[in-house]
Amino acid sequence: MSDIGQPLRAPLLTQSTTRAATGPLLVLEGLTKAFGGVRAVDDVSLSVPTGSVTGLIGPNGAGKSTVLSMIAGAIRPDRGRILLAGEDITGLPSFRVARRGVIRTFQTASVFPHLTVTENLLLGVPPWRGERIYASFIGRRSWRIQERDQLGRAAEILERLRLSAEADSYAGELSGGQKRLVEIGRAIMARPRLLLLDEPMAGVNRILAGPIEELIADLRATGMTVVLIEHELGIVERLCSPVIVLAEGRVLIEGEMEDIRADPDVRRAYLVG
Amino acid sequence: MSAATQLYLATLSVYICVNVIASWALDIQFGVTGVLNFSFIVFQAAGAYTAAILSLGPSSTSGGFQQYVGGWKLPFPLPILGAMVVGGVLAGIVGLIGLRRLRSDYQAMVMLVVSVIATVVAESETGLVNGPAGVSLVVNPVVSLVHATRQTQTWIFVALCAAVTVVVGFGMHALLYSPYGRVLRGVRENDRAVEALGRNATLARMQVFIIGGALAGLSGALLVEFIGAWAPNSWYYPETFVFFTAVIVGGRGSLTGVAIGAALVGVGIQQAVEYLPITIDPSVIAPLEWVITGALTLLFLWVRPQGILPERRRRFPPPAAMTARGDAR
Repeated sequence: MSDIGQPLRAPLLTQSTTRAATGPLLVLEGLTKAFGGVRAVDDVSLSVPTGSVTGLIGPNGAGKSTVLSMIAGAIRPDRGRILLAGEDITGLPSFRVARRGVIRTFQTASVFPHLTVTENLLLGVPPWRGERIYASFIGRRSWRIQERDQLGRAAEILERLRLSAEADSYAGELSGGQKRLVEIGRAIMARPRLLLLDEPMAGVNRILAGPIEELIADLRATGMTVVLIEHELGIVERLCSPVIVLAEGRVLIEGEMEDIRADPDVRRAYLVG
Repeated sequence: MSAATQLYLATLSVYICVNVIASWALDIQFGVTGVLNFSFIVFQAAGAYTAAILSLGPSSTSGGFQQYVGGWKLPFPLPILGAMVVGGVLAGIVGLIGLRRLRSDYQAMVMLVVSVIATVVAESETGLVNGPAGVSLVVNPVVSLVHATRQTQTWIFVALCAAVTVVVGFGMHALLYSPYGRVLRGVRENDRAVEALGRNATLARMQVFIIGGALAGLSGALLVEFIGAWAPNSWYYPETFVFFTAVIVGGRGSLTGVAIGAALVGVGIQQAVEYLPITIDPSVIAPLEWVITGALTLLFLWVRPQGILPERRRRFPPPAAMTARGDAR
């Protein structure tokens, strides 16, 4: 489990499970969700190829975050199915979805403000034996050894995120951009099968946006499957393939960014101006 | 030291121990995990009644002047253990009703309603725990176990309470300074995020509700075995706020801070008010305690929300140092 002493980048970002080389990791079939009388997501079907960074773009109110929340189990769809590696995870509560390796970040950075940055990252580790009640009293030496390995990995991630100096700071004391980095670092600690990033650059200054983009590129290089919601189309173009455009709760088009830019429907719905 | 002074000091000591245990019980629920348990006093009361019923024997043996359900004369420490079990089980039942599918503000409302219902039921159903008069004549277990003077017996009970408090303190420390404690604090800070990382926040809340309920039961059992009686007027719902004040004043999530808060608020205020050279109507003394308790809560929430001794920041040594020491702390 320990990555201490290993070359930094590769083991740091490696996923927890070996992946099948082919086929989609995530499939959505006819996903629908209405709030009151408004259909936020309307019969959305799409697939996310294993090992891809799939971009999910669209104008405000297109339903992107609702789709992400349904995948993560935070919102229950009214209709449709969500398949993760062939397993139907529709309607599972978010902690069960997370235990299957689907880890998300939130539109507004969602850290644990009165936990230190290191502790925030430690909570990224999937549920483990040390967190059982009995482990507080029995076998402390055993979980401390495991925790030491986790701390080593957290220290490496913080170094990668240029946050080592803030390891003992409360997460609530950081700037908005740093909180965003902590949240992404915490997600990486989980070694997810599928990482859902909801506007990771939102509210982040240019100095911090660079490292976040580099990090996502590194995740792509390691073969991690990522779904990225992002408004900055330059970033989407550099990182994502394929790109899916949502408008008014429906899938408008899917493909490569250069094709999408040229599509007249997309230009009308989203890209004009 | 006179016998009266000794009894006074012993009584204060027992009250401090009982309040510290109860405040720690609320702290793991509210201070550490963020559960607003406004029915907390119900679990202390359940423990007190249980310990009384498991110590007194059948109600017929006391000449029928008090009526209660059951009635066994179990040896020490079974009444106390029974009180913990009942406190925990009751907390599990209340938790199943109140902690699932409700937002935290609605959870708090449910708890408050539970507290009000519980006292009304205890007062109305006179055959349950002897109605408004409550149960009495509970014998201190030390009296039957140790043949000594009354003063010595009293101090032995004080030592027992202190020992129990120390054991509970070590147990709480082990829980809070572990990965489990970290998850609890995560639930307090951001339950949505903690669920998105694979932890079941509702289960964590249920667990601390049961742990806190059992410890509240323990505190009630110790108290009833010392004072010998327990009635509804000692556990009306506002009593819960004494413990909330103790946690807020002491410092949420800080074991030492909460212990200080428990001694200061649960015992100190009452004693300070008793010794005030009041020249006005003595009937204002009890309301004055409530006014001071409420004012302290507001003062700390505004001026020093982290309490007297804030929750300790968890720092980890650098990985290299840990490897050298072979330990993570």
